[in-house]
Amino acid sequence: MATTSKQYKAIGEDLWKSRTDKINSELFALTYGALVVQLIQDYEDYAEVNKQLEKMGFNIGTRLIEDFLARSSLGRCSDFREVGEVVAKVGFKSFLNITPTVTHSSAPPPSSRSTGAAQQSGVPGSSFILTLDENPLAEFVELPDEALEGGLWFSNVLCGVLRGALEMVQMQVQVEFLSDVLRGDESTEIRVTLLKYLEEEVPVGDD
Amino acid sequence: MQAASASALSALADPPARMVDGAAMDYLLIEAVNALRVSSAVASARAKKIEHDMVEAGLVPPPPPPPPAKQQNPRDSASSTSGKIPGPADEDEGVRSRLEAIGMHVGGNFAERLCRDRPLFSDSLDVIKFVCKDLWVSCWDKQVDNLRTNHRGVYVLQDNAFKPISRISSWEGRQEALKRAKLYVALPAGIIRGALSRIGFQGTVVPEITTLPQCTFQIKLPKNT
Repeated sequence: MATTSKQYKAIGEDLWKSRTDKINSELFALTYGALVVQLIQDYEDYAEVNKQLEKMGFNIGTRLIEDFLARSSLGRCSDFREVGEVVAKVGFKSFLNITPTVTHSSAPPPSSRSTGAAQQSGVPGSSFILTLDENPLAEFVELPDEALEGGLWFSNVLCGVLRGALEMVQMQVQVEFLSDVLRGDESTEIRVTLLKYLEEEVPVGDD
Repeated sequence: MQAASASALSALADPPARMVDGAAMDYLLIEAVNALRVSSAVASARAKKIEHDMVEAGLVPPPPPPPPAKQQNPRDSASSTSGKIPGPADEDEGVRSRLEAIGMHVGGNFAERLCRDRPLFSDSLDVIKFVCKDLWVSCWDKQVDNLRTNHRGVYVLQDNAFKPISRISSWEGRQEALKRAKLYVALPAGIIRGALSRIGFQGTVVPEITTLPQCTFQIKLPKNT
């Protein structure tokens, strides 16, 4: 049974509505903004700040996915395309109350390599692009010239969150910003590319 | 010409607050503390290196010699201003001041938003009441449980179930959880302090936790208000 895009949207709405613990997004935006400023002051290097934001996001993502799976009780996604749909319509909706649009693109012409767990349209190399028309993290934010020149991706924590969450469900992905309205671009886009599926590993010492 | 309905217009003028999931904020704060611990270590290492370089270049006199290696003497550890040994207390201090700074930024700006349609505050008690009711409700979904004052600029706000620390627990036991809570509470203290400062009252806010999840904040406002 393929869940349609509309059904995912409905699931996302339901999850959001059922959440009892909501906070003002301005508080969230202000806290995140102050945190980024502090990191910039501490590291004095925009590339390093990007890295730290991504790392922070990774840790958040590993916890977030548990929360998400517990709440949503969605099953395993059948292919990477479905992953994109779920992330955009259910994931982002239930945590940030936004629904980015998702554009899928399948893998480039197949190379001779193949992984052990290749699935139908989940071939490594497939990707999707999330286009955020609103970014709750970037409310009230304007980047100074230094940050623009230094290459700061303000919302880089989102990339880490996606990477961390997907790694916990056995997908190794590369997540990066393509454009950001804070940098003067037309839209805010994040590309998620599937690198490979991870084998379920039993932790050392467990039986 | 059809006039737009009153409710549609008022929604335009005063849009309902956008919300985000509370869990997202919790996760962000948890990881923020970890990220700040690392970044404050980086910053203080850099500061020490600069100081070291300056000492090498003879630009500043060398610091007094560090206290003897055996730091077991409790008298020394309490007053080691010259000791360059970065202990866990120093690290925590860096994180705490950063958390407070973040809180001040959030509190100041958020208070501005909250006060937009309010008339001017009549006196300091009015401001404190604003903090106890409006600020507390917007940030932490409830009002302060108890307010005490000595009518001379010192106010004690007590919250019996303070939201930011209500879910803290540690597998190392109660004491450890208490210790962590004391660190996390720096951010809310900053929020209160920032709000007061933006309203015009430069005071100090000292949080105190004896038993989780109860928390008190001691606010000292300057005497001439």
